[in-house]
Parts: sequence; C-alpha cells; structure tokens
Amino acid sequence: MMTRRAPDLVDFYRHGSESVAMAGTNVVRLTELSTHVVETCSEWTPIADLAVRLTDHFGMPPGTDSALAMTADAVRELTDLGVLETRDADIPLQVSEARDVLAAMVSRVAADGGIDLLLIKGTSISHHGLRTPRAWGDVDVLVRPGTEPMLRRILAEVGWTVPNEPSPRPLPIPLHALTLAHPRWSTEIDVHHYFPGCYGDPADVFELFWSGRTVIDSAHQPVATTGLHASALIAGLNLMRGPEQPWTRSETEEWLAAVKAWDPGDRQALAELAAAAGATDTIADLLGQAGVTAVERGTTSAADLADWGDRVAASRGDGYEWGLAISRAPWLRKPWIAIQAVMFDADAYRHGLPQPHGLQRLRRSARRWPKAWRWLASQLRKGSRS
Amino acid sequence: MVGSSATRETVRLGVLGVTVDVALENARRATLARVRAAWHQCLIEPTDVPANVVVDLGPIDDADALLHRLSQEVTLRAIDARAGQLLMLHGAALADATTGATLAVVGPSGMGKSTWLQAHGSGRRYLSDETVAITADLGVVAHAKPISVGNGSLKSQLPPRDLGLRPAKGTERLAGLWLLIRDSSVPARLEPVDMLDALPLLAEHASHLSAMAAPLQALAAVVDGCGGLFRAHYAEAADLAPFVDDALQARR
Repeated sequence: MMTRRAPDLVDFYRHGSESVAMAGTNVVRLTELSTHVVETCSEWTPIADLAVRLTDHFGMPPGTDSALAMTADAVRELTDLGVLETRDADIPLQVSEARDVLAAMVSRVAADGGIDLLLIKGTSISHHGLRTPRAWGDVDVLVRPGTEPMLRRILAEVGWTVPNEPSPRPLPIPLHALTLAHPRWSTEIDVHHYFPGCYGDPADVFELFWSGRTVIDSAHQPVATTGLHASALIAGLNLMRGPEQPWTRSETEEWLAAVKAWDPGDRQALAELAAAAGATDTIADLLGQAGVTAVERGTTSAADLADWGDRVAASRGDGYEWGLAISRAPWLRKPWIAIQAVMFDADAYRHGLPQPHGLQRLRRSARRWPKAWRWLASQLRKGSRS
Repeated sequence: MVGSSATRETVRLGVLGVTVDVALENARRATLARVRAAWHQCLIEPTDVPANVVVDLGPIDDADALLHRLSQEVTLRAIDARAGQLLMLHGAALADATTGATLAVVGPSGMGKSTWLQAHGSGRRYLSDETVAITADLGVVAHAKPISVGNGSLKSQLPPRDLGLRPAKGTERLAGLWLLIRDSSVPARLEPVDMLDALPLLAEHASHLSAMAAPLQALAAVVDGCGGLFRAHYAEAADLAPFVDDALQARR
C-alpha cells in the first residue's frame, strides 16, 4: 500500500507539534503522529517506508502494536478524513522478470486478437544456445506484416504507447519496428513488422519464420518464438548491423562457436533460410567466418544493399541519420534540419521524454556546440556536393 | 389600501463591499418604503455603472414575506460574490462608535446573535447580524442588513436605527472574536480556545472558506490578529456587558 496527500487537501496549518488540515470543506485537528504522516507524504510513499520514518522520529510504539500496524491505522484514519489517498503498491519487478512476464503477456494478447506473433532476439537467441542469457533487454516481437496496427491498438488500450510520437528526429531510414512503452513497466516492447537485413518479401519471410517456429516457456507460459535457424539468422543479422556495439565482439564469438558446432544439415539449412529470406548478402561474411557456404550470393538489389549500408552506419550514432536527412532534403530545408540536429537532445529522446523547449534546450545544446558546429559544417559540405 | 400603483422599482444596496440592485415588481408604495427603511444603512444612489449583483424575486404581495426573502437572498448573493476574497463568518458584529474596534460573535442560528445585538448595540456601529466579513488586514466590511428577529419561519426585519445602531464608517477593525455559548449553569465568562481547536470550530461557521487561497493560514492570521478566539458562556445577553465593554474599550 502506498499513500500521499489527497488532491482534496486544500490547506495544512501546523501549530507547535500538531496541525489542522482542510480536505474539501472538512477541517480537522490532527495529532502529532498524523501531522508527521502528512508532512512526510508529499509524494507517493510506501506505508512500510513511512513506518520506518515514524519509528525514527517517535521511537518504537509501546505495547504489542507494531509500527507498521499503527502507521496503517493512522493512514486509514487520514484517508477516511480525505487528507490522504492510498493505492496498492507497485511491486518492482527486476528487468529480467518483467521481460519474461511481458513476453508472455504480449504473446497472449496477440493470440486473443488472432495475431500471429513470434518472440525474436533476446530470449529466443539464448534459448537456442547462440548467446548466454542477458539480465537486461526489451521484448522484441515480429508480427505478420499488416497486423501491427491491430496489435498496437490492443496494447494501447492497456496503456502501451509510442513515446516521442511524432518523432522529433528525421527518419530517412524506414522504421522496421515501433517501440511501445508503459509508465509502470521498466522494459519496452519493440514490435517489428520485418527484420532489417532480410530483403525478401516481408510476408514470405514471416511465413518462413512462422513455419519453423518453436514454443518456449516464458514466466511459465507457452510463447511462440523463432526456430533454431531463424533465430541464428536474426541474431547474425543483428550482429552484422551493429559492428561497433560494445557487446558485438563477444556475442559474435559465441554465435560463431555455436554455429560451428552444428551438424552439417543445420548449417546448410541456415544458408538456405538466409537465401530464402533475401539475407544471403547481408549475412554472408558472418556465414563465411562460421565456415558455412552462402548460397545465391549477389542477388540483393543495389537499393537494398544501400539501405543495409545506411542501417549499419546509423548504428554508430544519431549523427549519420541527421546527415542523411540533410543530404536528402531540398536546399531550402537543409538549414532548418541542421538546426534541429544541433538542438536535438538524444538523452531525452532515449528516455522517451519530450524534447526540452526554449532556453533549456538551447542551454543543453550549447554544451556540445563546438563539436556540433564542426559536425554540421561537414554535413552541409556533404549536402552541397549531393 | 395605500399606494396601489404597480411598477418596477430598483433599489441599490451596498453590502459586503459589492453593489446589489434589488428589482421590485408590482411593489406597493408602502412596501417600497418599508424596504428602504429596513435597509437604510445600505442604501446607495444608483449610477450608470451596473451593479455587481442583481436580485429579482418576482412579484410578492406580502410585504413581510418580501422583506424576509430579500434579507436571505441579498445576503446569499453578496456572499457568493465575495467568495475567495473575504473571510466570511456566520455571526454578528458591533464596533465602538469612536475607535471602530470591532467585536464579532460567531454561532449558529438560535445562539442569540440578534439578542446580543439588541442588548449591546445601542450607540455602537453596526456591522452585521448575519455575516462578519474580514479582510486580510483585519478590516471588517459591513453587511448592515435589517436585524432579523424571531424564531419562526418568517422573521421580522427591523431597521438597525430602531435598535439605536449607528452606521459603519469603513474604518472598523476586528478586535475580538467570540463563540457564543448559551449556558445557564455557570456565570458569564470568557474561555480561551486553543488555536488548533479554534480553526475547525470557526470553519464550521465560515462561508466559501475553501475558495480562499490558503484558507487555514488566513483564518489563523485573523484569530491570532484579534487576540484569539474565546467561548463566551452566558445565560442572559446582558450578562456579557462587562466583557463587551472591555473587548471594545481595550483597543481604544
């Protein structure tokens, strides 16, 4: 149970160690204990924490009543008077617990809505022995193309929304996933409608993954996830797309060790799946390192290869996408996008917060101006050559 | 029958610092005269500036009923108009004719506020028999309505001058605050009330208290500023005479 001052608490007057409170039109005298409770609870406070603070201030209560029981009584009385309000406490799940519960929840919600959904990356990769389990990470799912708006609607009804919508940054590279966040969950859901690096028709690729799916246990619930080969393909593409991520090197070694240990049939199946998904060229280097012979190399179009190149470059930082946006914008819009780039607060964006306004934004961006101006000048020079 | 002409008359009053236009339909001349007499301390000349409040009761033939309704309606509408601006307590108040030092008595209907006025008002300035309106600096704003007398559903509305009450001058300041307690078992006495008890007690008798910014702080400042709240125990209103004299003279 948690408590805080009620919105109806109009005024609070302390006189000596006691006080008078006005809640709505109700004016009541409060004891020293209640006065201390009200002064302590300006924000949501767990009652157990409150009991500790009261014990620190008043000492242990006499008799058999525990401090917690006395505190709960005081809070109940103040709630009846309209001075405090209470609600059930949040149980803070660890991220790994939240991720497993959330994966089970999203899977069930999708099934109830008739949506085919596969859990991808994270848990599915470690389940197939391609990576040691991580204690952190979001829940990534891949849905049958065309059904993601329905899933988004269903999740929106229970409080999952897209932070930063519309996006405060340009999106020159098409989004492959939407991130959904909930104010009371510590982890997010990434809903993919295709997987970057697979340049086959998204519906066909999903069908390939769906037909090879397996079911794993997540928070004691059955959850559909990608099978061995699709999981290896997705994990491999993810590693290829982010070559400079801090974990890429160790995870690449784990991936290679696992795939090298496969029997020849599985290794061949991986190469064939990559070809069928239009990912031969994007994962070929990694397959080569694992001693797997890629099939049908050189079939990816120049446009798709350029898109892949952009995605790999964009993984190195926000600057690449801003630069891409500037280079692709009409001349008259370039300066405006450039100013937006310099003012962009990446920290706020990553935490799902709105971009700061006015002076605050100017002050924050000013700290990185020297570096930003050098970067901007280089982007504008590139833009003028494009 | 006197004054049978049927007209629409407007009487402008000044109460609680706001102007109130009272529209009287089909009022007989005698009724109009009684209204003017009863509200004589509040009458002001109408101007082109619209009144803050307009009260229109529609046609009421009975003059006593009209005066009774008018007393209630004007008070309620003026209180509403000053919500959030003045600390308004359900009570009566008198001020010393010379200094303007004001004593307010608070209490529910039937506790003897009107009787207290009749017993101690003669020669003193009259502020109200219904609503004591106090500013942040302890000024008292007059609501010099007719004195409502009687216990029935239709109270008589007496002109203040009939009780020898003088008009307020706008210089009145709160010097004392009592809670009237009719109690025949003990001699008349004043009993101080602890601040933490005073605030809930006074809040019961306040109008639109929650509309004020920091209402408890405002109430406490008033209680503190006038020397605290006292319970005035009495059997007969006259028994309080030495205490009233003392309270009003103490601030001279």
